[in-house]
Amino acid sequence: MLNIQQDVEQDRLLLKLEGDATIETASQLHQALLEGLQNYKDVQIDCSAIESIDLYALQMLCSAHRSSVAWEKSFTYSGILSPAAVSAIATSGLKRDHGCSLCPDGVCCMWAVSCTSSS
Amino acid sequence: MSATILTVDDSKSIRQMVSFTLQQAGYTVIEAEDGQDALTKLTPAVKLVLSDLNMPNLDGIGLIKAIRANPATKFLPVVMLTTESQGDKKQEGRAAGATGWIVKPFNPDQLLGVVKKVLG
Amino acid sequence: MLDQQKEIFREEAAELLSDLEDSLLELEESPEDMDLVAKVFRSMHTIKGSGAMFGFDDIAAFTHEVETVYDLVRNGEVPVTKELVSKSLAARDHISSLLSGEDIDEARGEELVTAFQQMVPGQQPAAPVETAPEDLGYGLFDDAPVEPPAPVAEAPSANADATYRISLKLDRHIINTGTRPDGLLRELAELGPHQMVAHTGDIPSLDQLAPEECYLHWDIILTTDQGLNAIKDVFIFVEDDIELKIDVIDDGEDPDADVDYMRIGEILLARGDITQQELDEILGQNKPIGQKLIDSNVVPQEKIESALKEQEMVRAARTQRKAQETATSVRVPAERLDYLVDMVGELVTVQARLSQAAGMREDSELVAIAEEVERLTAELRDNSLSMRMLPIGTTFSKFKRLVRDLSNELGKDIELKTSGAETELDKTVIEKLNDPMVHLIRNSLDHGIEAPDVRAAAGKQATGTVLLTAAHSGDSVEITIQDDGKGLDRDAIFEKGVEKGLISADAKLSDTEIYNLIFAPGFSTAKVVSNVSGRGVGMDVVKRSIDSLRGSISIDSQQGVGSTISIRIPLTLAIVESLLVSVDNESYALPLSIVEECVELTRQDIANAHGRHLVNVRDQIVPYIPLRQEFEAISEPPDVEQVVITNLNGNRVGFVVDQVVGQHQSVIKTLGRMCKDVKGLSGATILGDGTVALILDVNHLAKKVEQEAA
Repeated sequence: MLNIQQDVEQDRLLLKLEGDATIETASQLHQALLEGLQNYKDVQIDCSAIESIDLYALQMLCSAHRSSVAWEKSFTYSGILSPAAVSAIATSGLKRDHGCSLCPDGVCCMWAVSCTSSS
Repeated sequence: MSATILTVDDSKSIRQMVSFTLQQAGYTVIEAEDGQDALTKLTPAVKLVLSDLNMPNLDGIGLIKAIRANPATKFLPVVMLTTESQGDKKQEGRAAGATGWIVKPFNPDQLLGVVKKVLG
Repeated sequence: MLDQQKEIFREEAAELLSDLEDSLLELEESPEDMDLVAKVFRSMHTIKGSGAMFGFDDIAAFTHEVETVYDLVRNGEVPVTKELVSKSLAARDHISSLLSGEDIDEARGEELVTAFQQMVPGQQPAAPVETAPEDLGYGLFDDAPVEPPAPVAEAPSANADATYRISLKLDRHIINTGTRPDGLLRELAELGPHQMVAHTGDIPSLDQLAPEECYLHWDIILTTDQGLNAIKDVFIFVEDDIELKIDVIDDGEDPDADVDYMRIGEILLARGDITQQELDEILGQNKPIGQKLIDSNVVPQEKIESALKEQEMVRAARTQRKAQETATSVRVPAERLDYLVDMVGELVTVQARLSQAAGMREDSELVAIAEEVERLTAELRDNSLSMRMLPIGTTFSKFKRLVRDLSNELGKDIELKTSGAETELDKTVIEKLNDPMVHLIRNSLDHGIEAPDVRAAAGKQATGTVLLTAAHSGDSVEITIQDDGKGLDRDAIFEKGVEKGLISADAKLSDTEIYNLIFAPGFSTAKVVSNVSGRGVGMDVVKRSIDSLRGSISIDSQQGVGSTISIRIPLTLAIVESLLVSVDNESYALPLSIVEECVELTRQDIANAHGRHLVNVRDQIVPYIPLRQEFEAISEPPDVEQVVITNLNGNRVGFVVDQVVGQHQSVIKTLGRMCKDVKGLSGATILGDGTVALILDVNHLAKKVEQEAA
């Protein structure tokens, strides 16, 4: 079960994910992310209440971030990551010391340890 | 909380052997006699299906296809129980979307090995 | 398998067979009815599958032949004929008899197997019954012979910590078979320390992304001792759906491997992420290589990160191995250790003298130094003795070979089991134990364990067992040799003892006493003299060897069930904690391990016993040996003598002495050739003041009491 709570504040959309962001709920998450980035300039994602997250959801966050850069929008974390999310990022091999080559200069990667989401 | 496993086989002795082994290991087990029976017992709690291939009414292949066609269960792992002679059936099962395979006869350790592998 | 489940199978199979009979009879009426064919096939299939599961292998093998034919019938390749139906009915009856285990007609079974095999077109009758499934017992989609993910280097053996570079790409649609990629990664990670880098380069933009497809691929560096197959097994269900490449980058066996491993450029080159030319160009620039590579944009950042992780993992594995190699052990010649122990023995003696001298001077400073020396000496002694300790298992393995060869020679089927191989004993003791042990094991094999047909007749397993155990018990080690052979023949031994003049024909002996006769010189009861044992020399030699180790040997046996020989050996021969006593102004030492307590013996006590050598210790009567009498002392005994109460194999025996002096660490010296056969003494030790104390052979002395009591 995944519950996606949407809060709008002017140009900014806050997506709060609660529960299981897994393959079973991948389509639901995809739709929310896509619509969010298409309709808002600034999308923030709150992963503090995630109980489990798998590769499918993680790769979607990666894709959303990349798309936001290409579409000249902003996609960032809001708040802290839940322990489940932190460990999923580490065990899936996504954790990075530096951003990926597809991240343009000055934009923080979703997986890099050296920068935070406060930009 | 232990995972629930659905075991589908028209042989009562095999069902009992599977149930006994899995229950000893702490799993909850639901038994079904054939594919059709299995579909009625497929609750959201079920995390893995262990199914025989040759069964009356609805066989194993049919069951897998039905599970994959239902959005609620399309990612559910299904492990097929088979005998070594059914090479073509294996391919058919794989094409239908079976997750894995266990060859009869198997011993309790092998069964638990597969279950642990698929359920993680 | 549980009997209860077997029973359920029997019931179920009986039901199936009865249905099968009905179906077959119907099929004879309407041979075109494919539903009936399917039903017959299913019945056969279930009987075969369940039969194999519940241990009815004969049923499974037989039914397999019938099922094969019905599979072809089902596919329209073989027609339903009258002959098929009648053969099937006969097969049904055969299965039924196999199931009940009654009236099995094997010839009929084979006839039917051949008949069914001949029904398979293009099949020779001798077609082999399919063998057991693959090792794992659970399978993979093995009919699609895809190129196996072949390792590049030679596969390292399991058990060594090898490091692998694994490149993994999953089929995008892998979830369609219910396989979770997360689970695969987790399973892989459980194999050992690892570094994992997911490559995100293939992830499309959000509007192009299909949420249920997997776009990631991975470089994993894994160090594991489970071997290459354990890695492959992780992917056993998805072999066809992945691209897997496994390279061994460190086989874990070369301790001299350069800890520095490869440079980043070399790793990328080995992985094919960069060409030599590109690398050369970049290396020309005067910057750190990692930075150069990033700046050059030839290699994506994440590939460099992945390569860095590989470097890190291999360096860690190699550094650890180096550290282990240097810390393990130093080889030292045994003589040096022996010499060390001798020197420590001398030191203990000198230290005792120092303590005594210091005590006499009443110089507190000197006493303090002497105490310090005493403490250090004790530690040094324990340490150097422990260096000579070896696990007895080294000899045990030699015996395995001995038993194997001898049982072949004797035409017996004998298995040697051991336990307590890790028990440590002084090296010299182990060496000296070898010959007596060999002799005892030979005896068990030759005289103890019966020939297979004799065993079968006695209702025993054809395979005889010799159990060798070793265990610590106080300051000694107990070794037992136990066989499940015919046991000692009490009467035969008795007769033989009479015949050899060892005992009189009317002697009343306990079982133990009779069994102990076999340790008498020149005793052998075997009727046939084989070249394994039975030459009539030996058991007395064994006894003497054990005695020389200050050990004891005893035998317990039950006719028809087997014999157990127990040997007790002190941990070390060099130094023993003892109780120093004096008798008639001479010093004697008793092993402290057997001393229970010391009590006073007054003239009154002696008088109360009316001439018998018994003392009352807290309402328990204990026999004693007056050592004054034993050593023919001439001086007057003190008014109050002391009784040292010892425990010898469960029996309390007292030794009457003039005075108890105190505890002493005795460095054992042999008595020399001239005196070595003196009864009642096992050695000597030098005291702090340079005088000699004789070490009492308490076992021998105690026997006197037993004999007197008898």
